Amino acid sequence: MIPGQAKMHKLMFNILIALIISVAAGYCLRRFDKLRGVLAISTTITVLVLLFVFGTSLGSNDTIISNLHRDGVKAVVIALAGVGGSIAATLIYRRIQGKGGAR
Amino acid sequence: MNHLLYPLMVVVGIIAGLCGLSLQLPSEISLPQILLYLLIIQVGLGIGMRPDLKNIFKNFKPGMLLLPICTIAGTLSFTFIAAMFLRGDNFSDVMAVGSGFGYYTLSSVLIGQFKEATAGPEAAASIAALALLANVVREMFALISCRYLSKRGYGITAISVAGINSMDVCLPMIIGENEDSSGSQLVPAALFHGIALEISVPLLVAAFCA
Repeated sequence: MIPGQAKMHKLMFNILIALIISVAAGYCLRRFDKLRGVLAISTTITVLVLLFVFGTSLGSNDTIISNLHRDGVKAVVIALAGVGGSIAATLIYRRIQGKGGAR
Repeated sequence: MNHLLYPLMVVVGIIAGLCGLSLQLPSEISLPQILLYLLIIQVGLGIGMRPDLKNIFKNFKPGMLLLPICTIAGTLSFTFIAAMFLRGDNFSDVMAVGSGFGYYTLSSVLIGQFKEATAGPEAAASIAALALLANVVREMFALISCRYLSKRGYGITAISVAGINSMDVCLPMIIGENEDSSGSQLVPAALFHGIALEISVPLLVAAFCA
């Protein structure tokens, strides 16, 4: 095994455990209505900081900046594939569910 | 509001980075990794604390799994085809990017962190950037098309196209104006779809990065 792979597996494992424990913890804490408001704000702040930090790592990376136009085309292709795939799959879904389905 | 603020924050970050700002902690653990854990914990708490969670699961029917499975299968199969055309890239990397389902905040950082361990920081940053772009674009497509699809009676398709955003940003567009009739039927499906995808993003991204 490549050394980095062990590190990645550990990270994956930690993230999944963190997700499972926090869903369970959230369920136990569901009666605390005030916490829900705090959580909404703190999640937004975390995401904003995360995106800012992520932005700086992109901006300070010359390779990424110079490849941005090429990556932009790729990004649109991948996004379109996702949208197209979803449309195709739900058309099949509607067939399976019958004509009416959950229209 | 947030769906405008978030991309703006990335742009502000990029400009700060271009101006020479670099945020490195003088330790083994990186700042993005700490933030990633913080986000995962808060996402988990948010799912667990949903007041409608119990109801969604109480009314759970195995058939409800079919829609998220359709979204995953459809997205991944078309991404697979797209990956064959994007030759310069590693096949599994493109699949990992596609498995974001519009969840650009989490998927880009997850891919960046997973890839940093195996492919090095340079390659990881470029794949993470692609993941961010592709999933932001998917969210934008979803924002534009959801209302149109829903109006035409393709509510289920709108949910699927929205991906992870079916439970928040795109929900109002999916319900549309016909809130009383078909719109309200779509709400449980849209919520369950979003939650199911939210859980599947880390799993699928991890699987394609491995």
